[in-house]
Amino acid sequence: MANSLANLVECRGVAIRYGDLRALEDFDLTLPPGKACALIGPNGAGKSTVLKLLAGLETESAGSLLVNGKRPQDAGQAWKRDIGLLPENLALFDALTVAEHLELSGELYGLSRNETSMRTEELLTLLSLGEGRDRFAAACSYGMRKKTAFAMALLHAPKLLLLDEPFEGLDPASCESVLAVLLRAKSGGMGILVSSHMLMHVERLADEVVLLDRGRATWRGATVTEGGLQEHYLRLIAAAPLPPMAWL
Amino acid sequence: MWTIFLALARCAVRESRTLGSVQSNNLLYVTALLSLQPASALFLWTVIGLLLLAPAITAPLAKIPEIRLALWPLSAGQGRMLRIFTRPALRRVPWLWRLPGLEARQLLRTLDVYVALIFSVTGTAYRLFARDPDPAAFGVLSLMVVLSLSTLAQNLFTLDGPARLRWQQSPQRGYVHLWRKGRWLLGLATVLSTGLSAQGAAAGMLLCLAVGHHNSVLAPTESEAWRFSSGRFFPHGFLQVVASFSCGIAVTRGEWQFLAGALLVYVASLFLYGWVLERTS
Repeated sequence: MANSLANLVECRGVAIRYGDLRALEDFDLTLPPGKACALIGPNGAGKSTVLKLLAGLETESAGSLLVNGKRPQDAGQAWKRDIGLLPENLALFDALTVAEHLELSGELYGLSRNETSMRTEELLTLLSLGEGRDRFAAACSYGMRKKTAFAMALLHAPKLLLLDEPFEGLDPASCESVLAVLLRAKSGGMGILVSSHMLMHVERLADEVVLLDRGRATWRGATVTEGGLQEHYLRLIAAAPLPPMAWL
Repeated sequence: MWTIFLALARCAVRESRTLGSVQSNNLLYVTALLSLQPASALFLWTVIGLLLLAPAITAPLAKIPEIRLALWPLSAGQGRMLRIFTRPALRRVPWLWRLPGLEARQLLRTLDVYVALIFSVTGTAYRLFARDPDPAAFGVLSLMVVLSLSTLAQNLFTLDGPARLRWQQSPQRGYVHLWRKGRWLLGLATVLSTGLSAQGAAAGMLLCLAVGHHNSVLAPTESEAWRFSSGRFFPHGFLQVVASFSCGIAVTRGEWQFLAGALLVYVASLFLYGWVLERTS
């Protein structure tokens, strides 16, 4: 394990509360460079909240939090250059095309035009977005929008990648492409924190898995578990029993 | 069938609330004030009414998604009848989309810009073709262009929708984002006032932006395409109107120090609210 100074993420006893609602309680996480951690758990368990917290979009109510050596709320603008975020709502501009989103992203993160153009071409090809490059986001399918937002998160080669459900809504071939580029990024030293319900992809990507349930980390471990992650998950979080549903 | 019409009626009622966005637009307050002199206000009310009418007649009935219409078990006659009402009409104007610049595309999908354009065209026509145009009116007309755009200056980021997050996440300084958005309004106000008093309009718009930064950063009001933008008239809109008219008229009369003053106030506001923007992210 890398020493604490080198860790990209260090959370100790972090909580987020909105009045009486406890979105996150006593949450610990350590992520060194070149490692991937996956957050899994039921809908509404707090996975997106953790990602927003690390991106500086939420403020902790208790505990201590360091991302790339700084507390996100006090980190300043330059710190944001090292963070890449695929947000839950994708945050795309309806009035921009797929390719224009990447141009804008390159400009905002200080890449040169040539560099932006070169990276854009590679990402569009990798993600099979080449044909739809001039289509407006408002006219794109959900999968294309997701891939566009993913490409924006990756374009500036951040140190830490925060991905909210990167595989959901993608076709199997695109999932493979996304997985391949994430594995490449990880081996290059990028830290990756991903939330996902696609457990077969999580197993191939993550070095550590954290199960969140109602704002608490109820289980954590390596992905290699007996019977696979899917089976292990269902042992921990049982599916709701089927009601009679006589009308069906 | 009645269920669908009931749903459409519900959509229409909700849609009519968004048409009410004009109620919190600076233009409406000034028009209401001008109504004390009904002859001067008639033109303004006509323009506002016509611009509101265009989206209003197409929007509520275009609410049924095509796919739902195809899936619902309707008879052929019922389907045809509903289709007549649900054809998308004015919602998309493809040529607008191809303009360079995100902000240009967004601004041209607000009704405020079209009011400004009408003031610009009619004002310039008055200057060029009226038998004995009053030079004092040029400055006032250019400031009507500014007034039409002033509420937009309180909503620099709302047209981005959820993509506002991109500015928050960007490592660039806050003032860069405020300038990026504001320069389009400044440019638009100046260009549209070229035939009247571009310098007066520039001074007025600088002050509108300086005041508008507050709401843009701290209290944005949601905006929709093909609607008037909404803002807060007291105190921000009121300040925008008073400051832009006083300063703009002075600059039109050749008192250039007011233009320098407006520029200073704008730059100070740019850095102050840029700093606030970085911390509210």
